[in-house]
Amino acid sequence: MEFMETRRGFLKKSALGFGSVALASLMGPSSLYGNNPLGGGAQNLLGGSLGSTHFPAKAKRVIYLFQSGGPSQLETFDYKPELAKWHGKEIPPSVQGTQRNSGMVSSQSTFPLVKSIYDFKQYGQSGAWVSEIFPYTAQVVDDLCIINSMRTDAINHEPAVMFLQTGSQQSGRPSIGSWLSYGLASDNKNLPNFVVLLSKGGGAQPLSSAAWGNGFLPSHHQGVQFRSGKDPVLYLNNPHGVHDEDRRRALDYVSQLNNHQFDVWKDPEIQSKINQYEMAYKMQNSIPDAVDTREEPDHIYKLYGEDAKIPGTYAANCLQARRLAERDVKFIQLYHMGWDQHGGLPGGIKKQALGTDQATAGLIKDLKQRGLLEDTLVVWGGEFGRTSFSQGRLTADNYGRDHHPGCFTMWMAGAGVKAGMVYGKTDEFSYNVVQNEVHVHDFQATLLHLLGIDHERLTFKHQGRRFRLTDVHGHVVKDILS
Amino acid sequence: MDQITEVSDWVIFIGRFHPLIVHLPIGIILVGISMYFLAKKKKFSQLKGAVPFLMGAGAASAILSCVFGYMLSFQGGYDAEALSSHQWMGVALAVFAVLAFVFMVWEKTKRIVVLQSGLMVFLLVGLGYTGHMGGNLTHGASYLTQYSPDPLRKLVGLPPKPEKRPPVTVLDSADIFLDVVSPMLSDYCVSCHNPGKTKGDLVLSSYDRIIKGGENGQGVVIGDLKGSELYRRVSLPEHHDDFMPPDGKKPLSGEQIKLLELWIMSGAPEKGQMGDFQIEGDYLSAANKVLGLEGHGGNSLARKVEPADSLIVASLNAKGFVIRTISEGSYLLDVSFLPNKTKESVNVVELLPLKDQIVYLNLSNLNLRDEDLKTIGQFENMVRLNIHSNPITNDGLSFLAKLQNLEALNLYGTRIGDNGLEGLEVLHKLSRIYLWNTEVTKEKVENLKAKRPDLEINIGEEAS
Repeated sequence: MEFMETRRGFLKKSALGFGSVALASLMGPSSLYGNNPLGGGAQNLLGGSLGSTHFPAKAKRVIYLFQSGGPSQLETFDYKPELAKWHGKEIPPSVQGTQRNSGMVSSQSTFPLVKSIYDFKQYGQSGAWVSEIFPYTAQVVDDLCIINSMRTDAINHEPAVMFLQTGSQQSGRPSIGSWLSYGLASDNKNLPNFVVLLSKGGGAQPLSSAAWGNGFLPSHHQGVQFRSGKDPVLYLNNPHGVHDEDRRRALDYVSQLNNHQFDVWKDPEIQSKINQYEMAYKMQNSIPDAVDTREEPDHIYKLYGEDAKIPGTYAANCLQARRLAERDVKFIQLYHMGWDQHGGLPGGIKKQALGTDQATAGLIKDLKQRGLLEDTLVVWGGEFGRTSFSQGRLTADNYGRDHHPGCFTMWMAGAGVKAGMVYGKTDEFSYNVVQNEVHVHDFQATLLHLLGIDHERLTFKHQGRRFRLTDVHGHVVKDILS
Repeated sequence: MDQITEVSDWVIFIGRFHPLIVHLPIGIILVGISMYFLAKKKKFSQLKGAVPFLMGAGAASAILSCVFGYMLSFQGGYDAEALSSHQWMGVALAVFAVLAFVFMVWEKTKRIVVLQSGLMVFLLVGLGYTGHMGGNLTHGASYLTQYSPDPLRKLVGLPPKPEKRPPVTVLDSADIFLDVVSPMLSDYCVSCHNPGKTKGDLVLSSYDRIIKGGENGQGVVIGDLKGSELYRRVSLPEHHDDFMPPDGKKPLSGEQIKLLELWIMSGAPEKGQMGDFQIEGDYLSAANKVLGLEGHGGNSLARKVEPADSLIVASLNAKGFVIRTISEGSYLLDVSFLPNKTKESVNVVELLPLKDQIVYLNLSNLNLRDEDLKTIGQFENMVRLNIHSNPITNDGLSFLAKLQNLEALNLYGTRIGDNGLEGLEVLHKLSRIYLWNTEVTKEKVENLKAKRPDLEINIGEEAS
């Protein structure tokens, strides 16, 4: 168990506490509690550990469209016409280098290169190449900053998802959304800071809830998962016969008891519990309004696609994400699974695209027309890329691709990133990054930067060491900042 | 200094306690001396017994200080001449302190008493002088006199204070070296690279020495960025070993580096008005930013304003306004009011005390009326205004004409029509406007786009 007060902390505080309060008020009488120019009031309202952002934030909230399973960069955004002449030929050892393969191709004796079965075209003023499986995304390409030079350290799903979401391949660290909830909290106190929406149906690979876990941060910072059914949150109504005032009174007494326990034990988890009860109470009122998509007009459903009318689909979640963004939820994390095409890639990826393309583009357009793209950051991408060579037998109309950490594509759109930009280059096989590599930690540092946070200064002390999202790595990719 | 020898970290670690413990002999000996002279008066004669002890303790701590000081000297980076005289003065002082102690406990003859008094006076003068030289070594020779008032400067024979450069108000009349490059180096570099403390044998406080550079190469090679060590060091990636300023010190901003580049590429002149150089694009905005001239077309978020009254902020918070500063160190405010189901209207007049501080304002979906915009129209520092989904008409929009800093305006879902848009043409900084779900016609939008090609106008997706 971890306590609020360590022995050393207590001694230090009691010795220095009075002195430093006195000093702080001497330095600036208007700011009794240190460097917040607004004094106590604004700081409380802010609720985050940082007080105020390190520099002016470009983004006030994030929608992260996580494409779980590892979408192939070769069939989506990383256009490699040169692969046509290598099609069916063995991948040269000079290209393969020392990059590792997964165990799944260890029994394979031949590694034939395979070109994308889908055509690419250039779109928009930026002239970015987009695959024909993404006709809708192609329409908004001038709003995207496509990064073709992403690289990760992990080669399997679980560690790779963890790595992107928490900065560490092992589970147990806080997710990006938890860090933001801890550091910044959100303007809307009636909804959770960090909401998770899963497309229903899932995929071949499970997705563990540790990906949106709070790790060692107080547990009220964990992602609040909405159900992918008709009612995203259950039990919002009071039981029959229980009035709202009764509920309030009961909670007040429970809270008093909890506060008493907290005074005795100083266990931060007690405060988390108080917070969570309060949030649940507030959500009884705020959720029905936030998630009720019936009021959305038809033309909005046209934008996201008819799927958006079916609760739990990716499209419905995209629409939901916009509604939550309008209500200032800080971090909205979507997961859509099923991008893991080891075999039967042509059919598989087409199906995935059909389920997501229109809604993704619809979300961008909808955010844009509402002016929300001004201060909302949208992120799209999976946990790794896929190999240039075929996994399994390469036939005229079928092939597969294995996991590939060496390069993959992500895009960002909205607040603070250059629109209509294609960043980074891979070699002609899309196997190695040759220009402007963006490591996962760099991506995380950049994301925090857009939210006004210096990634080296958002830390939490745990087990004697200060942890941060980017561990001891990460450089802000300044080239893509607008 | 060439003779830096590699020593264990321990030596320097301990050496760095020199500035701390050096104050022991200063204090103890001072007390010893004053007690010695005081004890000559009958009234204070009881102090006499303490003097030998104090002089002994003073001598011991003086020796310790010398040892620590010697250790510190291995760190390098000090002016060799000043260091050596401080060092030998210190040693001499320790020797005399020991002598003073010895004479103090020795059996007294008349001669010794005279010697005693002489030694005491010598110690007093020596302490002051050695201490002063030590201070000069750490803080730089000009540290003490930098802020001394002019009459005092005349007294000690210093030239009157160098004329302070008047604050730059017009970019063209700013001096490229005196107003741009030199202040930048003074703020970020000179604390370690000055005549007293020459890290890397580099001095950045005078023009000639800046050009000359230090032990790692020529500081500035005119027209050659790669060859200019000064530029190379500050423009490296921050995690590079050679990057300057070193870890923990604030690095130069992108704009400052840009201006350094401009200076070197323009021939690194010792003086010259900015107006005489061809300054455009990135360089121009960098110059405006660094010199704080942004009111005339730069970043409005760097504006300096008075802090908002915390009592007013607290009372607005209580009413449901969400108010935060845009970042640490800034008093500019981001204000919003979360819409609720009842669509209650807010009393915008309550925000008037914050009119200078507000740069972002979000009052969407709050039943805002045209007359509310009369108030909002007075928030002249506003950069981003979001008033979508309110029953606002063209009449209200006319009140916004004074918002000359406005960059983004969100009006979707309002009752704005073509006429309202005309009034916005005077907002020169406006670069993004959102007009989805309004009464504005496509023709008008095309018309405005032709007049203001820099303006991004979003009319949303077709509702059909």
